[in-house]
Amino acid sequence: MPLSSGAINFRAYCWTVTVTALCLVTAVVAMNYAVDPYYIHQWDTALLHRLSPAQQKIVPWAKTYAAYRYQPEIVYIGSSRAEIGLPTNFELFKGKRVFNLALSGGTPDDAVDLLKHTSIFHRPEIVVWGVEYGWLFADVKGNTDFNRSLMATWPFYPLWRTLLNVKRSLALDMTRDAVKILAGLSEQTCLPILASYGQKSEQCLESIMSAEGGAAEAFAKAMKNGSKADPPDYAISMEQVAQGTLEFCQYGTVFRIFIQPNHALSELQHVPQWEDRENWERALVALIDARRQQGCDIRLVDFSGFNSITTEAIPQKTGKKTMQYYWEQSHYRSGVGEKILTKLFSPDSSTEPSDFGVELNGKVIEQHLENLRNARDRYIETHPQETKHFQAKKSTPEQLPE
Amino acid sequence: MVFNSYVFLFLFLPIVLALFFILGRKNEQWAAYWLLFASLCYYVSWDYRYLPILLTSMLLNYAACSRILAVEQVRRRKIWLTAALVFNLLMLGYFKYANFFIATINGLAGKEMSLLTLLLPMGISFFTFTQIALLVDAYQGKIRALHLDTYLLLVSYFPYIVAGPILHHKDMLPQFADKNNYRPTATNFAVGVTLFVFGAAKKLLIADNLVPLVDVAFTDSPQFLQAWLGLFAYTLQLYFDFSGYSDMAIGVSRLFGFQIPFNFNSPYKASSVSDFWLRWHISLSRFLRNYLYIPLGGNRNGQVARYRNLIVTMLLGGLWHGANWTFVIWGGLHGLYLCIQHGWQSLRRHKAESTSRLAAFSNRSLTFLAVMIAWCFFRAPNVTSAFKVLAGLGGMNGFSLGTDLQFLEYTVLALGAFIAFYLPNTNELILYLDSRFANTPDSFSILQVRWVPNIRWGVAVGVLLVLCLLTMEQTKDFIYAQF
Repeated sequence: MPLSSGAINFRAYCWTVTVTALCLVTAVVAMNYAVDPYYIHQWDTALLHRLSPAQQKIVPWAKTYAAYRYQPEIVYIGSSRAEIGLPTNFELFKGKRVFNLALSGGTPDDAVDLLKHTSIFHRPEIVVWGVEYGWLFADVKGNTDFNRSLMATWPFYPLWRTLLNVKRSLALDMTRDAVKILAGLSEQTCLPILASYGQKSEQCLESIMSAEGGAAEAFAKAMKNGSKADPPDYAISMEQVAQGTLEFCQYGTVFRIFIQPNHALSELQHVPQWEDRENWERALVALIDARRQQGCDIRLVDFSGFNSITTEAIPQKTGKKTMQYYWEQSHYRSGVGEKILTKLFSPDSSTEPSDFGVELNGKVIEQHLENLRNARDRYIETHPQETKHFQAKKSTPEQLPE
Repeated sequence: MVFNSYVFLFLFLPIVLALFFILGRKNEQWAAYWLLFASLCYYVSWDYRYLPILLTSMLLNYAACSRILAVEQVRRRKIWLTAALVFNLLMLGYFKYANFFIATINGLAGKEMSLLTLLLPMGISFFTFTQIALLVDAYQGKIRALHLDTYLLLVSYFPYIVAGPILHHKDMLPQFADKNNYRPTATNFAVGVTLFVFGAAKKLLIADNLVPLVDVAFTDSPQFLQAWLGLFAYTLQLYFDFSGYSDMAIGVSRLFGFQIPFNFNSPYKASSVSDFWLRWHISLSRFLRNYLYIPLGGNRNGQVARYRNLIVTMLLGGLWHGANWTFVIWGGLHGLYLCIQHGWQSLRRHKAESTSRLAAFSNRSLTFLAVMIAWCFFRAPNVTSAFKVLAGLGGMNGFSLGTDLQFLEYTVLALGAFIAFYLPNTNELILYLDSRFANTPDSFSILQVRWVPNIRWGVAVGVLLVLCLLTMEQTKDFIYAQF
């Protein structure tokens, strides 16, 4: 191939491309790795005190790294409800290494895999697992950025993880956010999720809720949407709970499983599938009973339904901007999380509302389900304005009280 | 293992390339065996269950081809050819179309036959067509001898096997036999890397960023502007995605010293539908012309037969893309376009062709519009959805833009349109000195840029490569890999 005037030779051209690319890649990776906008390789470092945007990106990267470094003795797993609501500074756990491994959008599959990941370094003594009916997203592998390559499965994890971190640092989104931080243009709202040992902080939540219109807006949307049309297929999530408990019970891990206390209005989404919901709860109880008979230290407590916490009056009724127990209809505050943990680990405590949390087993389940049905009907009867859209499978939106 | 993955770029390709040239220095045959082994490994990386299907197809086709070359009686050669063609079509039909036929029968006859649980081997359409061309040419005496090793390498050659271009033995076998190609050269590396980077940029920087605009149009019932913008975005996305893949495949192959013919030549600058097919997926067009349209009779038996052959060829070409009526309709539309074009040309055969700029612009615009409308069926998941988009194009769902799309998508759309309509294509930029490409159609570029291996281009390509690497984390699948 002849060359045009002004051309160098092909060999020099190849070197030019290579050197240019190498220099740029090195510079970008070095900057991103040093700034680490998503905290993918931070633990016990000064960067954890840097204020960050309220919505932290690729949290599974941060949590899997932190779990590897921190080696927690007590872990919380579950979805965003557990991530937001379960406090890691719980009084009874003082002196223990506690970490919240729950993931926003995470499925049971994510929860079990995260448990396996952290167990490679140190097998947790206690696992607190928040579950709920319909806890299965369209994709079995979850709605998160939890790439399974982040899981520790072999002895060279530190090296492997470093390679992954370097690879992840070569990305446009990270470069953009690193440059923003360096230029002082990044949003500085709250401390990163790792600063509170995996729990999303109150400051972050305040900011997110404020940006999204507050609790009233969230409840208005939930009421407009009404009930869900189809029952979820919970078989896969039950299978994950079964496998996860079976594997870890063998090693003496203590399980405290609880049904999430979604707000009563959120619970009413399942009115058309109530029978299916009850069958799910029966299956869960049967599974936990079976594990207990196998010698596992495992308990199941139901905080859902229509108790004095979950039936808190909504902003549309009180005229207040915020609620005492909830951020919105499905995410409860740390205070509720503390009550849950107290009930799970100090069942005789008298500080809890007496109707919040019912320990389940095969003997009490039918009575409990009947109580739930009655409480549901009473709630609908006494809250006609809030619940009018939850009767049918799918309702037509109407004007709602603001 | 797609081309734009870290494993391919930083592990597979460097190892395969290094060992290929190390072995090639000692013995070309070993290097060819290594490349064959690497190709099979690459294929297995998608799904190990594909391998027995590919091996069965290759070995049986090779056996049939060898018999065709060995026997002298025309009748026996014809029997071998027929048997091999039937085998290939049955294999393609079973893996790719069985469920389509069952669903169609269920729909037409109101039956409830259950669908089969089938594995669709990656690239089956591509490696089957490559082998059919070989069989037919062997039967016609265009091939004299065939060696098992080069045959296997041709069919399983990893740069093409996932999404083409469809390889033709006439292009590749002489190159595999040429010992000079087993030595590394700076020219091949420079051209290969540059083509690969341009292809990756088309895919990662343009095509992938158009997806949000396309998704808006093809979900539910789009409004007027959503539908037009979305369809226009898809028209560009498909071009940049597929031509990007082709450029990457050609670039990767060039690193090894083997030149795969280019597959696109600025198709949206076409001045007629037949011109479009000389520029779009050229390897498929060539196959359809040589091994379907011409054997059907081509234009040799009068106008009516010609139109019939055009329609049949395009219908089957559409069906080749996938087991869905949408592809059949897409092919049928192109067949119809070609009939209308040839009918119009025969009506005006005594009149002088207008050479004005306005006429050229009108021809190109009309061709582009026709092609764009047809893509509606190509993209839609089913015929009903396609008609919903068509209704949106007609303003039957309202006129609002109604989206909160970002500045980025519109910028990329404008940039993509400018590149597709007004800039030289990759072949013109890079392969302009290759005599094989000298007689390609005019591309109407407003800039006569040429790639030259100098420092400025080196820095530009290096920067472009890094931009591609930065976006690889969120890459999407190649559209044509599903075919």
